[in-house]
Amino acid sequence: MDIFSNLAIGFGVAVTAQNLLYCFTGVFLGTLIGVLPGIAPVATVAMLLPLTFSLSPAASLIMLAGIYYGAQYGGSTTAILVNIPGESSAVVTTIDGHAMAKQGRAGPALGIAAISSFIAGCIATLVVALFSPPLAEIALKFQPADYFSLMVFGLVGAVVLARGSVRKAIAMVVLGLLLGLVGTDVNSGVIRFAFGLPALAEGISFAALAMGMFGVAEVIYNLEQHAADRKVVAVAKIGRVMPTLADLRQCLPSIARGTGLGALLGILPGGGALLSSFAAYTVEKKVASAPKNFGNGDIRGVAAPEAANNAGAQTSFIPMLTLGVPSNPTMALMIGALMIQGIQPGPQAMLQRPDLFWGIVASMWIGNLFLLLLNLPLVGLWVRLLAVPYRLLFPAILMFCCIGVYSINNNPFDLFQLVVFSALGYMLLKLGCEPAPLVLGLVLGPMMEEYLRRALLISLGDPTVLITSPLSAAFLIAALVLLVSIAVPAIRTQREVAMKE
Amino acid sequence: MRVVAGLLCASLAVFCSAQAQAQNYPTKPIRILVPYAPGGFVDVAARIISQKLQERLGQQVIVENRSGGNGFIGTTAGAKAAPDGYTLLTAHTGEFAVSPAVFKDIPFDLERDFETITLVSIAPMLVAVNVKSPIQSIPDLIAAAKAKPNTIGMGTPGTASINHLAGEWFADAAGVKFLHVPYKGGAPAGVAVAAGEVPMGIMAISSVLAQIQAGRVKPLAVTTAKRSPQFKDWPTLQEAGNLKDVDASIWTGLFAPKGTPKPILDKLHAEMVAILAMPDVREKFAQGGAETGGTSAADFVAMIRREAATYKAIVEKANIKPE
Amino acid sequence: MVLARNYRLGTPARMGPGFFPTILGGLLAALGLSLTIPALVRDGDPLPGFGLRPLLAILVGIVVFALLLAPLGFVIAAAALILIAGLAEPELRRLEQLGLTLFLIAFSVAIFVVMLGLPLNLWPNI
Repeated sequence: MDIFSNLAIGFGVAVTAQNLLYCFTGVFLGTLIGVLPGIAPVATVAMLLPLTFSLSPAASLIMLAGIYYGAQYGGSTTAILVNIPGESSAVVTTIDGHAMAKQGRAGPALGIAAISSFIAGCIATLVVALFSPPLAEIALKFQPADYFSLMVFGLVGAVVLARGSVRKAIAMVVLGLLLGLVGTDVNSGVIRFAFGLPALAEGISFAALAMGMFGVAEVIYNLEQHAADRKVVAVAKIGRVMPTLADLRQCLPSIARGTGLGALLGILPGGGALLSSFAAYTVEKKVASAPKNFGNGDIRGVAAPEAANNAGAQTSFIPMLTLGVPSNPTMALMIGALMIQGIQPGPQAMLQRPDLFWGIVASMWIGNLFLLLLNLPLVGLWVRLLAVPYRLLFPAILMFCCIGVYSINNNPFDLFQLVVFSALGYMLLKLGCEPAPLVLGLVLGPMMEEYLRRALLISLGDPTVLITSPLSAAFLIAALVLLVSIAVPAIRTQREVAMKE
Repeated sequence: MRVVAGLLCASLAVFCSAQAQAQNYPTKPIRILVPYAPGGFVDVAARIISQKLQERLGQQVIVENRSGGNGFIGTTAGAKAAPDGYTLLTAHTGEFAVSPAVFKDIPFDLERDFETITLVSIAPMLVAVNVKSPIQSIPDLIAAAKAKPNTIGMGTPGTASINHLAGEWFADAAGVKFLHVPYKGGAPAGVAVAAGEVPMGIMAISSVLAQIQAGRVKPLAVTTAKRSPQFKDWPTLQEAGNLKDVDASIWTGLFAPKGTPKPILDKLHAEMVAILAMPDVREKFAQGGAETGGTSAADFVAMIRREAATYKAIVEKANIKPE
Repeated sequence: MVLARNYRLGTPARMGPGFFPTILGGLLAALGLSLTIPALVRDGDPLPGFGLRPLLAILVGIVVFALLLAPLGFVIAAAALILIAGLAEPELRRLEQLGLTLFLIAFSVAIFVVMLGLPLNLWPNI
């Protein structure tokens, strides 16, 4: 294997003063926008694009990549501190992360998020370095039927996310699927349930929904409580800032599982990376000992999804670097940036410009190190932020949510969506329904439909493709098993309740 | 409120000696609206020209993405913007040649709402197949579709996209029917052909070039009447399939809101012609198989009008109805 | 009772099958209904009380922000947002609120406009 010589080339490119600086700038900006709710990496990358014209291709890609995975890192911060998921992948982190913050353990939650992201990032970078071409081949093997079944599996997993009633969780998933129907139908081009509003043609704004349901609804809920018993962390309660060694030992298996799952799902260009944190959480809740704690501030509930989403963020570069296929809009933009530089990303670029490919791989590792060094000291600062009285903190949360939602499309209409979803989120919160399964339904619903209909279209209407494809069959069976494992205990408890009555 | 403000601004702009204004123009940053998300084909074109405009005009030129609603939102915003030369629009074939043929009630109209500055880029699309598919030439493809109508999958970036219409044009000229399989954009459609999910696709060159170089996708023909100067060995559909008339291209253009003062339009047009002739700009567009434009506004409008009529006929014939 | 809330939201999907040819629409409607019926039969918990003041203050604040942003620019819209949303919290003192408004506007402009270069209009158009 000439992997070492390749890595040597890579580090040779990445460890120049200039590229180190761009790498740092990238991860710093990424952290910043990750922390700011709603400001998406794609918008930031778009705004910085003109800056990169004057840089070398390697430097610009190193910086843009840093923004992308840096944002994944930063996203967990607001999820933990104020219950606002900056990105869909951080939705899961809100569940146990924010619960930990309410218990005064924001520090360890942030700490473990940074550490597990770092470990996952390092391992996933190694995966990118060693196995890119074969993994890319696997990604191409995925057919629409397989994607559909993977999504079904993901949706069943969404039910597991809920800490309360299973029925409510199913209802939330369905509601999410329904909301996901809004917008242009990919297969026919028909605009559905948009009520004549062109702004709804692309579907409901994910940021508006997530911020309304989580952030703003929570703010309203908190304000409603009497000042004395507010569920916001008080200064006195902040104990340790760092997780203990025992925490870390407890988390290591979770981190390992999360990394593996994230790295695998990350390579699928059709939405796999999105599922990684959800899947990791679901698996953790099923596999880990004492799953009862999940949902009430279990540190493993932070470690596993954070590891998964960061591992997924790294491996989602594989389709782009080896096939020239973007796995998400940010990647599409990076490909755009390379094309402006006169480089056609893809297999040729990898052979002709090894400095570019290996330079990026090396910079990812360095970037992850930067992120760890940047984030661990920041934990103390973030935790102190919670000491700010809530009456001063909440207008700031509101304002950042508003700017964030607006900035995505520069369209005031999205702010009205924010209002609607804040109200809905508040009602659901009152009713004890959790928003996380809803969000997953919203995100997966349209994709699931798209893949199912495409699978049927290509098979000329033959539904057996779902079973005859081995991958698809495997996912469907896994989904069934998961469903039974949820249903059986749920039915049992219900019976017990009925018996008592 | 905003409309009133816009009108006021417009009349003011016309009133106070437009000539003097154009000489000073631009005195503040210019926005170029892109009705699509960053990273797409239109966005990249806008960013290439915005960088050069910024260098030459000495003012910041900001690309602002207003995505949504098949490009309607951004284009409508462009139509309603103040016609002072500080808001421009980059649009592509979709908005002005295809959408009028497909959708009813479009909130904007090329000649009512816009001043045309120039054609920015123009590129052929590509009929491409998976290398492992039994179909390896245009005659193969036509024969296969004749043998089994409505079964040969044709991947495109979406229903009523320019690629879809080009495919229907091809099918109509050859007297066959393909099974239209829409994707969510050019990149996923390109992957689908590379993975063999669909045997054939109608693609922008930029979205399958990497797959072609990797030997996963084989180009069969370009959809234009002329061969692409960058890829001279790819035949045209007219040559490869002995088909008459088929000539579909995908272009981007620069527009300004109706009523933008003539001197400003002239200045922008002159700058654009100069920019589009620059070797490095040509080179950047050539990467994606595109040629740069720079045509006069009148020629460009005539071309769009001609295309809109052609596509209307195709839409009616193929019965494409998203609504 | 709790799940019954989904009924209203569930019905649009029933338009689905007649509206566009999708299996999924029908599937969703069936699922929605199957969830709703048992919920209607069973007694749910009584609805908890709603505090109207914070809800209204915050939602109105965002609406006003959305309406003012385009014509009057970010600074005025943001000030309106903070002042209206501030009504949600009776303990917020006048002076505090004023200071907070100024600080947040300055802070947001510094981060979003100066550092990240968001295309926000700061002042009224014209």
